Amino acid sequence: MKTHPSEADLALFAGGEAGRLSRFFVNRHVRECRECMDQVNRFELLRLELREFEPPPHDWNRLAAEMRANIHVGLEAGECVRLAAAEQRGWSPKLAVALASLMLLVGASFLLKSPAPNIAVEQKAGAVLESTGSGLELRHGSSSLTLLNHDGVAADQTVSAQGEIRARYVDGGAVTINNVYLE
Amino acid sequence: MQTATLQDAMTEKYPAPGSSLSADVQERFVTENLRRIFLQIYRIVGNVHDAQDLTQEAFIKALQRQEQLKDEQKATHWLSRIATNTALDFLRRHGRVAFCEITEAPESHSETPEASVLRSEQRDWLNAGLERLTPRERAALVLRDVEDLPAEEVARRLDCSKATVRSHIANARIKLRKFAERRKR
Amino acid sequence: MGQETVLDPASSVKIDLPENSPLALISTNMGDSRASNRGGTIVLDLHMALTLRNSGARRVRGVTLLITAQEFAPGGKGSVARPCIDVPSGEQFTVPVDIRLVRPVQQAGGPLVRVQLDGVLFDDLSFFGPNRLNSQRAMTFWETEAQRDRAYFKHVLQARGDKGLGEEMLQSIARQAERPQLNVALSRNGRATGSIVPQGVAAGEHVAQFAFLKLPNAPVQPVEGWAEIAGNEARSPQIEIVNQSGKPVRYVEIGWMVKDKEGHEYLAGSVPGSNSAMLLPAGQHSRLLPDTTLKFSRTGKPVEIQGMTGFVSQVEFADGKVWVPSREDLKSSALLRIMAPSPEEQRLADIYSKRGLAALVAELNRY
Repeated sequence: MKTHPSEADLALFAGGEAGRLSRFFVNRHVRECRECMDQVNRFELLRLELREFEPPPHDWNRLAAEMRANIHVGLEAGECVRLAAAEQRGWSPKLAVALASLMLLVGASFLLKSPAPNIAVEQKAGAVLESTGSGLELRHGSSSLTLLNHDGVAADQTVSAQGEIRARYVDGGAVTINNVYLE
Repeated sequence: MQTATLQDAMTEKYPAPGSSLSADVQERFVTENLRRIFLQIYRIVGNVHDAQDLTQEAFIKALQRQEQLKDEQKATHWLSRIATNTALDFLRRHGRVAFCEITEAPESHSETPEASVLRSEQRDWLNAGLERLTPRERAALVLRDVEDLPAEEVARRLDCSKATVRSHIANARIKLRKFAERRKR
Repeated sequence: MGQETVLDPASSVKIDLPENSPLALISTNMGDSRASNRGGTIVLDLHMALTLRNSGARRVRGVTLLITAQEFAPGGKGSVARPCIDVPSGEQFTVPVDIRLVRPVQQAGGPLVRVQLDGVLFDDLSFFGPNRLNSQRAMTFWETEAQRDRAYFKHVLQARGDKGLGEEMLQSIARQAERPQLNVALSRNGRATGSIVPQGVAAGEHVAQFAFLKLPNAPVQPVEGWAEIAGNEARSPQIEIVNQSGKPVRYVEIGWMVKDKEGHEYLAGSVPGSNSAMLLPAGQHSRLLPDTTLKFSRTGKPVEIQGMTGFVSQVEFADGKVWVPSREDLKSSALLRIMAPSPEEQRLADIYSKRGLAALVAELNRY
């Protein structure tokens, strides 16, 4: 009875990582064994599918701009700590502040792009105020009016108990504040 | 002549040790490698938010060791290694991560709605399948099958032997294939 | 599925500035704007950049535009504001207005969206405009906070040099990123009550008292407050305040924090003076009674309210002058950690992170 190669051998053969001897024997086997040839084909198909593995559609320009800014801030924080450490001998409040800032910064700078929370305001008459990641929406029935965050820049949002939602964002060095109100 | 020109360019781009990179040079280094590193990390961790964080972390680490950036080719490899390790450390700390990407996608005019849905489904199941791998299996598979690196290079990036890398790749492919088969039933 | 008809986005919007406006509309760049009629539904995507010129004599420090949609019942509106600007006479600036409107096709023609001027704030804090949205108050508060924060960062620069300013900026950025945020859903109750102590509390609810963070220099102080609490809902907050300044007050805003069972504190929102025409004489008490319910959640899970804290965040006097907490008040009360930074602080932090310390110093030295 023919001995089939192991699954691992077939998997490596499909990707071209099999050693020389293993490659020779597997190659000879799959020419005559349909079942193993099918397995190799399935592994190869998976490899092809993996090559197509891309992130979901996203605003690359905005993402890249955020990352560049955060990298810059991270480097500045590192420089700040380096200078503080070079000047100090032993522990000091300045060094403590600089190190604390760095720790906060390293942990926190990666949150700078956190999506804005959803906020919704309902009115019994059917109008809804809602905040989404992309802007502030006033909705009534099948109609809606949305103030969008420019270029999808992440916004900081606040609610007023009187029936108002505000979203504030910084874009191009200027602050813009969008507000939607329930009458 | 080309070598001299390349050397001049490298000297200008990555100055000799003892001098730090200018802001322009840093910016160029980031711009030229940002998309590539982001994609590399995304394929290991599987979601855009974490990929963004880790990409930033990788660049900060790389740019803080500027003596490693003298040679352009070595700098690229060095950065890629940092990126892989950063992603792996993240996966180890957070275990297997399960994400459902809900992003505000810009409207695409180049794909039909059907193709868009299919692509999204494929991405979802690939992500689900990759979650079932250990961090090193996932990294090995992505570096080999997506980044198309030779097995020796994958071993260098993961700091392990070629035999270990082969083992990771084989296990990863087997697990993924079994997941794909269960999904179709 | 209906056919799609492409429309002209420019004819779907009307921009109205009054004749005596100190701002002149120079151009409207429609950019990627699109409008279409898809099977009986109009979809309007406006991405405009309005270029305005300061045609008055004074420097402009803020502008607010009112956005309304034609025949949009029952009534709701939007605004786009640009605070913290500094536009000298004769200079131009842009305001981005990005709107999406979706509505059924109706018989009435004409523009679907109207953009009007609600107000312009000048460097001497004088104001021009119809002020339908109370934008004069909002922009005056923002400008007052901006002056406070610029003065603070300039003081840091003088006292501790570039390095000190850099450290402060990094801490500001870290605070902004760390600041915990809640998801809040707000609804109107329709059951107003005049009593300071809620009555007829429903089963499963209990009445909780506000704790207050008293800022020593605040001209108005909270006295006591209550809200009906059920799980992650807080209903009908009622807050009594007293005017401890020597002059009448016409607007007060109370910041509202909630604490969950782990002891984490979040800024839930604000409770403004319930009556915009309120006039609270010196030494007198009044009540803020917004008739609303707030529901809190975070990352999709309800946040059970274990405690609530209020603090006075804004006061406007009858003479138009405003009070905001000082930096020292914010620091000593730990509010700096929870409150959002002012628009100006956010703008300065953005300059620092994108253009570096030198650019930040140059910006501070402009004022």
